[in-house]
Amino acid sequence: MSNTRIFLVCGSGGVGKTTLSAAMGLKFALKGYKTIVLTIDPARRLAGSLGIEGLTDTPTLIDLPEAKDGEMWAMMLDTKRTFDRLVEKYSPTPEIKERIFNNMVYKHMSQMLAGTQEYMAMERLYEIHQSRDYEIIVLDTPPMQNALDFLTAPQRMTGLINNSFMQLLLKPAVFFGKSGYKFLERGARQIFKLFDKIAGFQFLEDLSDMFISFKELLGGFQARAQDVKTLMADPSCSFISVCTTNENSISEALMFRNQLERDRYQLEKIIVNRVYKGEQYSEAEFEAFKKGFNEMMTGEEADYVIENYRKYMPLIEKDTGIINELKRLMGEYNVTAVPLFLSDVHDIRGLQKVSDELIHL
Amino acid sequence: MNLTDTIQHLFTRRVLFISGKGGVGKTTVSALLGIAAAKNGKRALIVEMNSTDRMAPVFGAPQIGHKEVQLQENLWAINLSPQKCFEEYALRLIRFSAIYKAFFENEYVTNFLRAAPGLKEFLMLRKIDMLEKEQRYKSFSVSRYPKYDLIIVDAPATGHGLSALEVPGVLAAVTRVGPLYVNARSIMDLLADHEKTIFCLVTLAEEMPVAESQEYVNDIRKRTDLSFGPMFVNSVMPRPERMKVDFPDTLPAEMEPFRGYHNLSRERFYLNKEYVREIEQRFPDFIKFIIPFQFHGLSKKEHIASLIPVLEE
Repeated sequence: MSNTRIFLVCGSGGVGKTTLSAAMGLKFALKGYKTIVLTIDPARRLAGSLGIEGLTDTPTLIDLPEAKDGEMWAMMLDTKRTFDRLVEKYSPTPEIKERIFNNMVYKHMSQMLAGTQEYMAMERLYEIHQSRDYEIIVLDTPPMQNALDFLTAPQRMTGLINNSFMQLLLKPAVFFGKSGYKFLERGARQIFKLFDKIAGFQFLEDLSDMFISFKELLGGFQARAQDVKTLMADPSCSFISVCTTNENSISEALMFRNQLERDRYQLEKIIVNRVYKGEQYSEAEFEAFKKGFNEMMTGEEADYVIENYRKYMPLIEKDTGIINELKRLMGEYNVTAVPLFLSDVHDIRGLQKVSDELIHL
Repeated sequence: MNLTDTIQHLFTRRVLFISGKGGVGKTTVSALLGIAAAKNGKRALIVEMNSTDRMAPVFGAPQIGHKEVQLQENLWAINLSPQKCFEEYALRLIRFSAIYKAFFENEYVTNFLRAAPGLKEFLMLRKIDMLEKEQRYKSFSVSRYPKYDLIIVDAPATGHGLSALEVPGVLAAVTRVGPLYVNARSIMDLLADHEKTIFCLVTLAEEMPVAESQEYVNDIRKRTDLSFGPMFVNSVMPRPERMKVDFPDTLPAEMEPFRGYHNLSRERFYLNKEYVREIEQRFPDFIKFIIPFQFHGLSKKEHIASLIPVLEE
């Protein structure tokens, strides 16, 4: 199954990435593909989206009676477990593995999810891709302030471990204890003293111990980062940018596209979610509609129907402007506007309605 | 202004963290509380945590960066930059600029710091801790007063927010001594000081935001001892003037959207009503403020200021 396609769904928090990822997964499954949706959100939203609780780190088959040949699988990413597995896999000896697992800094690192989530998402994506079990992989990425952070995650990970300055700085703490200072050249010595002063010797020792242990894993990490990068640049892998209509969405979408172009990644589509769709009418047109409705219902009902629509006009006008501008900048077919739905989506039927809107995909 | 006791009491605190799922309206609520507090005579500072600056367009102000900008009488805003927070922090610790330069102009060091997990969050929380402790003199007086009476933090979305709040605890646990430890402890003390710091949740009356709020409250209560204030339920659809309209089964295509928006108003009303009730059940010990859906949007100061009656008796 060498022609696996990967869709990376990116966007800031609250725009509906998780729901759209699930809707995409559903669409592909119903088209007959064996599909998996990976979600990394600690708030367990996909589980909510699919109306099933307790998605785990292992792929779970979603019950879809309508899917004939296709299948839809879903999986929740467990950052800590992925990290542990990675350490296990790349540790050259059991001693090094134990040293990392017992390290104070490592133990707490996974708690700081904000920093390690992206790294682990890429890692798990790669594992799933390697398994060659699926035709379509949809990855719901962690919410980001900056959608671009995601692209550099693997390099940042190895960069952090391979930071030669930190290696130099931290080594003496382990090999020589405090007396290690004097073996350092003057500049490094001052900086080391400073670190000691700010953070305390014990912390430095733990930190450097972890860095040095990790260095043993570096070869594996680096090779993996390179593989992930190659995979992301492959034509089979493309990005979906999700946003809503707000003041920043146009500039953010442009920035994202430019960054992707620069790194030669493919942007598949921009999905604008929760759009107030509709026409803008003049007073004369409203009058004509009112006449029409008057023939179908009571005068009061007709008045209300017109007034209710009129209330939404500022929102329709704003959203139409933003969609048109995006289409002008990005090209008609690269922008999909998903209308605001009647109720919030939390089951397969709701997802089906959303997925019907995802045309040209 | 005739603010409710809850809001008046809230305004006697020092730091309010406005948190919630992404897209629920944290920025709106932060701005609303800022405007109300300022009108009430408090010197208020709105803090954005390294976000795309959303406050400036609302107030028609030039872009807000890592420097306090006055938005109107009694109201200021700042958008924290982790890099600047770091430089400030380091300069305090390193007083000699030569060492400072050697340190920060080193590419490897900056790369390390950029990648170090949790560091950004720690530095921004530390800055908030500093802002809380900043003081000023009133004219013709020798007594000192806090520089800001009230600091309103437009916090990162939950999911991220919870981890950010845990960073000081983790740092204190791994360092155990030294200035970093002292700073982390100081932040923890501020966050856990029920007299000073209050966490306000913003949610929508919809399934997922309510579920996430519940998770957030459970997590925080399980792991920490932070104090929650009132909850803001945003974007609640008011009752449409007519619930039932006798549309014919088929409509000309161009008339369909009229039915669509009628359905939207009605369905959203029912949905919101259902989840407002759910919120009452799930969060019985929270005082709730219901913010009605605004058809003209909430992108301007005037629109947000028009919500002040929500906070009144």
